[in-house]
Amino acid sequence: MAKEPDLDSPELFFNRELSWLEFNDRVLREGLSDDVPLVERLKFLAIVSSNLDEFFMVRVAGLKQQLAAGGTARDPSGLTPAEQLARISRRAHKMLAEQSVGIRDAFAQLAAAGGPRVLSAGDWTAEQRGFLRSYFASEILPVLTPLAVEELQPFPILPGLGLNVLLGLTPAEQPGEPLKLAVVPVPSSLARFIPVPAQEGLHLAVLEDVVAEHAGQLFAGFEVAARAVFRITRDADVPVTDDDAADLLQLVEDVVRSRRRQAVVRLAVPANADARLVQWLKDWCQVADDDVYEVDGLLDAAALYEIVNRPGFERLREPDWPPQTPRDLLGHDDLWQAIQDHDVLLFHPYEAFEPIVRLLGLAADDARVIAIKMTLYRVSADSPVVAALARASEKGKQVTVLVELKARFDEARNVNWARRLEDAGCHVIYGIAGLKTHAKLLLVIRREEHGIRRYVHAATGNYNDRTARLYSDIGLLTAERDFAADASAFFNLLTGYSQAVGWNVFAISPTESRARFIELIEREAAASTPDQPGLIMAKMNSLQDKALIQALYRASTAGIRILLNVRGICCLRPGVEGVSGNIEVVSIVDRFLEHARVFYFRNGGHDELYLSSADWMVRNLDKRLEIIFPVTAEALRARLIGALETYFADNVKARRLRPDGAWVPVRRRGNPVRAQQKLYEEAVEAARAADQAPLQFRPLTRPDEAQP
Amino acid sequence: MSAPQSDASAPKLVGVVDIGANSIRMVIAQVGADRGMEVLERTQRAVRLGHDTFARGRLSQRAMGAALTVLRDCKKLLDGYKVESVRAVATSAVREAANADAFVDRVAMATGLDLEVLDPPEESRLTVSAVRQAVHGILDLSNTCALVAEVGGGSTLLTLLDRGIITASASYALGSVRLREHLAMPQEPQARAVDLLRHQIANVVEAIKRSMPLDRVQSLVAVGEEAHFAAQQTGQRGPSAEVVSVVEIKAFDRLVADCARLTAEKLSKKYGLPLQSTERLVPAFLVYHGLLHATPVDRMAVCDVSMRDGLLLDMVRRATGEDDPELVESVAQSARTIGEKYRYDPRHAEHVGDLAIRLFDELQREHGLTPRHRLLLRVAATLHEVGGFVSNRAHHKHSYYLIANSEIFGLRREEVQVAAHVARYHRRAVPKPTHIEFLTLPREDRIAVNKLAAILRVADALDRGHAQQVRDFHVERRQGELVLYVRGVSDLTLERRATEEKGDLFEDTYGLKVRVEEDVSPAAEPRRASPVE
Repeated sequence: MAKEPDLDSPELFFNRELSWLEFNDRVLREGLSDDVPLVERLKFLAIVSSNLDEFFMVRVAGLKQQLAAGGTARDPSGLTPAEQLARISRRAHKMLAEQSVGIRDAFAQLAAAGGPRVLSAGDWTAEQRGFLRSYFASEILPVLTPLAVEELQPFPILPGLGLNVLLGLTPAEQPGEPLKLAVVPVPSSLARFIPVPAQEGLHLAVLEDVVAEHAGQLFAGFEVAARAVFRITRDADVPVTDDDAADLLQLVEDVVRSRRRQAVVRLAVPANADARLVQWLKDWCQVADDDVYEVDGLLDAAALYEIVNRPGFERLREPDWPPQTPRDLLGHDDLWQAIQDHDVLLFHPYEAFEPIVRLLGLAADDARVIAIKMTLYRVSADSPVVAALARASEKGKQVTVLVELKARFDEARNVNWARRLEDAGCHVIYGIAGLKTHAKLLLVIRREEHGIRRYVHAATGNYNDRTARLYSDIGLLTAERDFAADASAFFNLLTGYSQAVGWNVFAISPTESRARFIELIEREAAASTPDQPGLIMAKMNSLQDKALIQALYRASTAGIRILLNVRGICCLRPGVEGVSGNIEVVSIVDRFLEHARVFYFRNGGHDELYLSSADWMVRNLDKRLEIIFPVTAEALRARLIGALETYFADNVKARRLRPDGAWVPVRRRGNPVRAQQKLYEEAVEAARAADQAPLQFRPLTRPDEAQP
Repeated sequence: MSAPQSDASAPKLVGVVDIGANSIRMVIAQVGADRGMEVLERTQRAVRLGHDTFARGRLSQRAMGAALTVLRDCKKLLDGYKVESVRAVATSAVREAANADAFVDRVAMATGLDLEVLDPPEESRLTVSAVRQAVHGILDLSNTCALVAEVGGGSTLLTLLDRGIITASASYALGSVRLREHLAMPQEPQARAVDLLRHQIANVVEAIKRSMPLDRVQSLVAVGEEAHFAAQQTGQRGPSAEVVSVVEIKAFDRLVADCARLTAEKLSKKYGLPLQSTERLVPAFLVYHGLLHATPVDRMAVCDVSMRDGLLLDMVRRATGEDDPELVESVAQSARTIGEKYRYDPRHAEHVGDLAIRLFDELQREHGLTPRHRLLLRVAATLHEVGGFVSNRAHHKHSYYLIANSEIFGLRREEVQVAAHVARYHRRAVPKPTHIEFLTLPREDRIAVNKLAAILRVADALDRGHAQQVRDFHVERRQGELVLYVRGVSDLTLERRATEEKGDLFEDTYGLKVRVEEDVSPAAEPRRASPVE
């Protein structure tokens, strides 16, 4: 018999940061792919940059903090913080170089295809130059705030992620003098792409080029000897430590403000920048060579979103996929009745998020509704959800809202919503000390003819009507008593009305979710026989928790088939003989962001399926309040199992993780299957079938007195 | 659109707030005829009231303040649902505190909750009633001798059920919090502290043996958080939703030995429980352990219910109007035990009871009293003559104080007072403003005493001869008269005269003069053979 493998061996784990970079590389592949419509390619190229921004602000900054504190602890893959930072830098440099090439290539194809033509400064015609000169004078100059001419000590407090122009100036009369320096921040309030006059088609100049070209005007009596656009990324990994915060609102505001002063973790400069300027910048920012990124093109490719969001050029985009009426609500006019009749599954964005917004609106205006309780993590600007809650409270209903102030980078916005809800009379809780409340849960309590009935919505995604059109998430509406009791208990926990009193159907992070998942994995292994081999299908954003990965290794060794659909980080190494030989990992990056967490266990023929807001990551299992809940209705479970199978059948957008860590396209065999497209077509088909259902005569009678 | 008004078919909302030694818990449930009972909210928060009471004999201001904060939150939830009937109860931590009244008052002022301090017999009764419901169909209590043991924070409640009938019930100062308080000696090594605990518990168990036949116990039913935890730890892994589980003595011995070796901190780490609950674990385990080994059984059935469930059951029964036959039987049995102690005439007592119940049921429309009053009437009838044990002169007065100072299983203290007064007025003087004890009763209770005593007097008159002659009668109401047609008795002189003499209160109370006639009509509707329940 083979020797027991050492499941702590670093060989068996991928580093989480490097794995994340591979995820971003998969996004980049979409941006480079000729199979993707051009405007969509720009979107992916933009996402690569906005993703990297956050990665540097949080992850790289965190590693640097560890390093500064003398940390040498190795991660499960055996790397020290210093080793990780070195590898990250190498990988990120390569990625940015590819991205720049990709952007140039996409720009060229875009222009050739009759789309917008993005100009570099060298491309400007005389006419365009003239236009831009006057544009600078009238539109840009009035909002410029140059920062200092002579002594740039200490380094000016420039916010992270903004673009700046650094000028090396010499007095006009004494060109030999050493350079004097000035920083001109590029205003973030202006459009980054400026339409300029052209013979035909849309021509766009880039804002920072225009500022760099003309900024010298600000300094009369000086010549511009050198100029460079630059961009810094600051450490934003300032944790909100709320364990004994007297005023959490104030604390969060302080933290947001303090981000302006944090250390610089990345410096981006143009590839051909003046060496003297670059050296000065490095000194000011106190960054090492590894942290300097020379970019041959846009320093902030996230701005490409502006082009993506310009109207028009439909033929260069994916066709629109308007969300469909959820299958379980087809033919139901009365939402309350529909939920009473059966559990309702909502598979966004194939199916609309609108019913949730509608439910909240109904609840706010329904005299029989006595209370609404809800968690809010990230909400949209002008959120109809928030408006409904405020209205409900003003109408005298008990409204309890947990607004998670610690949702990273949404803190400031959430502070505003929290205040607005408080003003409306809601009972607002700003989160739980030491934990982020990541669970998505809504509870509506209604006094009906036959007593109190509670309606619950539990989901994998946020109550954000905007992102619900871009993220693939799953929600469940139910009036089941066990579910309702757990939802009540969860809110009693959040409000401090009660300690945990035991759950009927939920499992909760941070106390029990990991143990529960491990139990489910081990049970699968125990129930597996050669005739009835066990099967686990799991879909999540990231797989990083070591204990769970080890549980999966043991299950694989016990002969269980394990199919993992992991969109982002995957620290598990599949396909290692004797350890993970039965584990397959695929990732799908397509037009919608895969965001649902779905966990399926064959359980010896008694299928079990769970949904959750939690990934298999340490932070979700230990540092957040999350809910794992089962889908018990047979039909809904079958539908979700079907969806999981669709993900694993994808051979268009899916990439498979090889044992060596490379993500390779799934070999095409049989007909092409593109999971997101198939899921959307199914939603359309269901809605169409309902429309064409045989005409039914519904006699209108006097409403039964018992009916609302 | 307005909220629907409550009607008979609409479910009722009931709430139970339970102030224990370690925590304050609440349950809000919805009770409907068709939907059964649905628990809407279940909350629990740690408030260590017992800590102060058991160590210093009074509740500290801090603990009271903490309790009030929690109770205000409870009230918010109750108000949110507009719960119609709420029972807030407290047990030993409040009961034994010298400043219990102040606390009850502060609760009332701060929250409007009317806090009832439960006596041990009532607490036991509620737990046992929850146990009966929970084990129904799993454990047949009707042919075994069962000991129900609940180790709480302040005390251990023991109830002996012989073939389903409660024959003994007592409370002992063996609570997990109390034991810990008494033995909280951080310097002591763990093993020594455990030895001391074992010793103290063994002493109490010896005392229990003297008043309860533990050697006859055939089933041990354990109730309480720690017992539930033991079941989870020793049982096969399964759904924790199981209400009744079995813990074998060997597995329990091992668990107790394992846990006793560890400090509360280590237990907390090992089991992922809060320190506050692991501190109580070993003391509670040792009590169950001591009891288990004092009986001949080799396993205990752990029942995951509590006094709260019994309270809810009570409230549900009240809401739906149904009676708990086992409770009625237990109360009656407890009254008979007291009667025996005072050498009552059981045949007369039972017979008067039967007649009184028969009259009570006949007069339901007139008195409008509850099944609970019916039970009190039964108790009063059973014990109306126990005063004769002291002296035959003014024996009704002796009956009064003997009953008033007895603990009757299943009755609250106020209820015992009502029964005592009903017995007191079974003869001679009717209630008067000069009767101080009577005046101390709440108004509603005074009315009930009048109505019940009026019936008891007539029933007693019908068995004046103590010969149980009058067995069958039927009742007719005619112009200011209630006529009792008695069948099968040839000479009713004695009864007729006694009724005339003792019908005074009845006439005052019901506005009906009672007359006894012989039923001679052969065509009389067939009646029940005997006027029993």
